Amino acid sequence: MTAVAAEFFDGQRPLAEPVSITVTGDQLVVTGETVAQHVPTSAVLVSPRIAQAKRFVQLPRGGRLLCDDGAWLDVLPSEVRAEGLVAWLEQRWGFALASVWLIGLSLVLGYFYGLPAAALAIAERIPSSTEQALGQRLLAALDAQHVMRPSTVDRFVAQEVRDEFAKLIPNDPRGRCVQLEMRASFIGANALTLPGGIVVVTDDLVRLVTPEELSAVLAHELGHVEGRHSMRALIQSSGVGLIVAVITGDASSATAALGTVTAVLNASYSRDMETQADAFAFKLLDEHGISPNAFATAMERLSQQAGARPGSNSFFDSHPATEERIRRAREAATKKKP
Amino acid sequence: MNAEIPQQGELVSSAVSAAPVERELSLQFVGNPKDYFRVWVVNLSLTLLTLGVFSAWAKVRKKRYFYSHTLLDGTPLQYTAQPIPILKGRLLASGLFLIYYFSEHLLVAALPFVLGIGLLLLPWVIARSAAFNARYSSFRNMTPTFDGTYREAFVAAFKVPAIPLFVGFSILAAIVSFDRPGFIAAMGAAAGLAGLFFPAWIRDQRQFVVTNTSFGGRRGEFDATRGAFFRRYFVAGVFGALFAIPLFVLTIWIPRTGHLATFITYTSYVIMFAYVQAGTGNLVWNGLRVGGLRFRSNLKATHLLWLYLSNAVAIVTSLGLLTPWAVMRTLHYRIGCLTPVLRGDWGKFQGSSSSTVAAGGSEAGEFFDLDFSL
Repeated sequence: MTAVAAEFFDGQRPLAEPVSITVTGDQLVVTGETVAQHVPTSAVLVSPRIAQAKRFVQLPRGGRLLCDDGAWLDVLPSEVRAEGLVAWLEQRWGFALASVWLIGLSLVLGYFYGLPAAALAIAERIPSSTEQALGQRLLAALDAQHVMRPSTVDRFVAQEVRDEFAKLIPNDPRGRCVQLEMRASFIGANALTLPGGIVVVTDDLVRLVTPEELSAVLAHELGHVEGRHSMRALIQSSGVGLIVAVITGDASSATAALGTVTAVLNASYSRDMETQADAFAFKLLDEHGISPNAFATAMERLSQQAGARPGSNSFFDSHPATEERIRRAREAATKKKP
Repeated sequence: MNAEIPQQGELVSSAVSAAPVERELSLQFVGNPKDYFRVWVVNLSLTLLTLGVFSAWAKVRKKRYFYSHTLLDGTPLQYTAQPIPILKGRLLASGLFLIYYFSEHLLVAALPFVLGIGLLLLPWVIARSAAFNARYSSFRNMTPTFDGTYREAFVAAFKVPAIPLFVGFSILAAIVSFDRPGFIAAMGAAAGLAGLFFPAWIRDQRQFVVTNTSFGGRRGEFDATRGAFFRRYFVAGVFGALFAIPLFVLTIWIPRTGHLATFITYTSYVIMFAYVQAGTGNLVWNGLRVGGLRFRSNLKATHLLWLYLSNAVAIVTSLGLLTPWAVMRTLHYRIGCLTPVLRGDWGKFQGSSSSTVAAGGSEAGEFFDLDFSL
């Protein structure tokens, strides 16, 4: 091997000494003005290759060499052995382009199939007692912070609501736990489903809609219970957050606030779940002899009360456009009629 | 490189002469987007394929790229960390996060204890990360040493009570009901008090790291004042209060401007972020000194703002593919704004035997060589 020019650093002062290196047999020979070292090649450690940068050679007695990258360095022991293969992959555009495809494919498949399937599998494995405990805790927190206050609805009306809810509960062989909670709240006319099958209905909702319409809303919430949507949404949003953090981790130094990406991705999951719950509700209502039209009129009333945002279907919205949901309800109603 | 060598011969002889003169050193970042793209994309795909396990190796590769392409006085920096300790650090960090997550959602009774233990762990994490970063960086075969103790880290973390105040008022806000004025008052007090103390806290953290790090037997000195940090944050805060918040309230008031409100929030956040980043970056670099080495830093908030905004547009519209380009141009700018100034010559920095041992990597097997930074 011909001599290679390098710089020698003794580790005592940050000063470079020009040297030349030769490898003869199993000996690495370093010669310079004040340096003359013969070391066995098995005792040196070479820093892994990175792009076309210079590489470091750690010598056994504490000295270090800096030299241009070259194939002769690859036969010497490496500082981190696994990096050699990675460096080899990084040198090739073919692998870079294949990686782009692989990342794109795995993200698309992961987002549309992998993560929802994993979230479902995990949600199914969470004991219902744990899920109920979580739901109870969330409700207790809402109560403690006065987001929810005790219901002030007339107790006969409340009993009617409970009876109607009990009638709607599907005869599920899997025996999902379902529980109705009525609360007064400043959030207005609304219903929500917490983990553990806890359906919360606000007083404003009970007062706003007709009994049939209330059944329609309850049927929609039962769709969330049936699909374990609360738990799945919790797991999926954690997964999305983690993956976005891994991918944009690098970009965080170069820009700020990429968090909106997470919001857009989670909103799409949420819209899918709403649509699923709607479809479930239409079926359940039909089984109980209630027209899905009740759902359409309930939605109309709710959107009027909310001050009617025009139906722009945005990436950020957690619910599908109201017009679209109403249209589907009417469609379901006309299909079931004959 | 060859031009450098006779110069160094000169320097050794000038060390003997009397008056040490200051001279500017070159500091260059020579990374390019084409090369970094391949490093980035190959490591990202391996990370996804291994469900995150490879991320420790990916971190080493990327750090190695940044260090190897940063030339100080013509010599590249060296990153010498091993992936396994980083993996251990990440596993421990995610374990701690899971404990916090579960106690927040399921075992609320345990949450105060978990938060308390977290506060006690914080100085340890800060000290270990600083030690890790120092020990596995190297310039011309010389490794900085970090000798800050847990006790010193504890003092630095809590001398200015920004964190305890913030945690305390957040707990208070969680107890007080959401729809009462008390909630807004408690949250406002939390944000306000923490905001008033935060600049000083940040400055104390920087001071703790710098003054406990030595290079070549010379201990770091730090003379940026709390007042200077406070002024930067204060101006950003005033901007937020006078410009961003009124505009935001206005857009909420006028109907159908939801997206405009999001846009305004984002833009004013980035403006304040760029202003604070440029200001504190300059304060830290201009305020630190190691032996005869100091730095001149002239980051411009307007240029950082331009970079952040254009990077965000480029990254989003390219579905992330321009991330490596964004990272490279940001590093080019940031490193380009730094000028090292050396009084005397490099020979004043003397390695001790211990720094050579650390460079040999003999301590790499220690369990507590953990890296917590992302």
